[in-house]
Amino acid sequence: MRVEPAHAEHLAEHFGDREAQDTAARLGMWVFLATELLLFGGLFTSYAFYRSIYGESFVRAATQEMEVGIGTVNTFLLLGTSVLVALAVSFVRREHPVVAGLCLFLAIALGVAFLALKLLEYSHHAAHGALPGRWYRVWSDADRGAEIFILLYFLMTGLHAIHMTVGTCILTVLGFQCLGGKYSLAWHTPLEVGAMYWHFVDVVWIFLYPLFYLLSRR
Amino acid sequence: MTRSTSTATEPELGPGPAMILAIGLALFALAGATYALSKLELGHWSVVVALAIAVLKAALVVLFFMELASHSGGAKTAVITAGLLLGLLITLTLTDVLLRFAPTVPPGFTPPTDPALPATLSRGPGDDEPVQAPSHAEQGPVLTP
Repeated sequence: MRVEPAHAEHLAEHFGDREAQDTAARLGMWVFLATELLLFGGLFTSYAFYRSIYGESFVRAATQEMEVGIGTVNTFLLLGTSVLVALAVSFVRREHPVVAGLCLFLAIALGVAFLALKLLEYSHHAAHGALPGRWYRVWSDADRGAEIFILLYFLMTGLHAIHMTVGTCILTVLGFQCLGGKYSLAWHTPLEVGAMYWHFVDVVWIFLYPLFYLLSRR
Repeated sequence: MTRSTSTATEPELGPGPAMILAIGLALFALAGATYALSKLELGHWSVVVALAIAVLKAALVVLFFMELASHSGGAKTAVITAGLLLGLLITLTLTDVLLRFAPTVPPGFTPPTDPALPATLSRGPGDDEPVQAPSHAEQGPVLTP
């Protein structure tokens, strides 16, 4: 017996019903985020390894090079974006897609502000010669681990910034779709999984912030 | 055979705006606490405290914003497995740093020293020549800018 599922226009042929499709979409995003966690995990492991060896150098490098003010402001900006993205999903489920779209565009603005501050910070590092690899110019024999700290800092925050850039593009598309009335309580799976990606980027920063910016005292 | 069809039921609404804002305030407070505690002299505990707060913040985001609690068992399995594997990777790596056989330490590294261990280590019975742990003096020329 064939049963026509609700909202069949959003149902792929190989899924029996919408519930199965939505569950598969969420599971797929979680598996993708798990692989992302292991990608960042390799870098976090490198950080743990080198910090356990060059602990004092890491603290000195962080004290000298990290701009705690920018890092802290960026932390609040990113947490704010997560709140706004969660609100967007909540408003769509309550049939307020336009408010949801506005929340997403405000989140995008905060995300762009984050990236702008990050670039400003990178420019300060460059002016001071605190760059990774052969471009490192603040060598001190007593701080053998400082260059590795800077290298890990650029690798991890750079990879995070790339994820933020991708996430910003995703939120932009979702924002326009919300304003266009594409999503509702009945169907908003793309918004849901896109929001999950953005929240993951926030979670990564939650760990980057204390590990790179708050080493001034041990 | 009947197939279940998706209907708009109350549980699918998820966290409401008020709850999301409350969790957001908690996240801001925890971020402020992380910053404030970094100013205290907590010694080696500072990184432990900072990471504990970070784990709490991440748990709030994952459970309430990403709504893992209401997702399928397969999703929970994927997340928990990834977290456990990452924890295992970091634990094994740090164990290697703490317990590494001294002569195999790469040049330039200064692993934590255990006063109970002798500075000179024998390769084993039958080896007359002892193996000296590498020191900074043996690491070759030092780079200067």
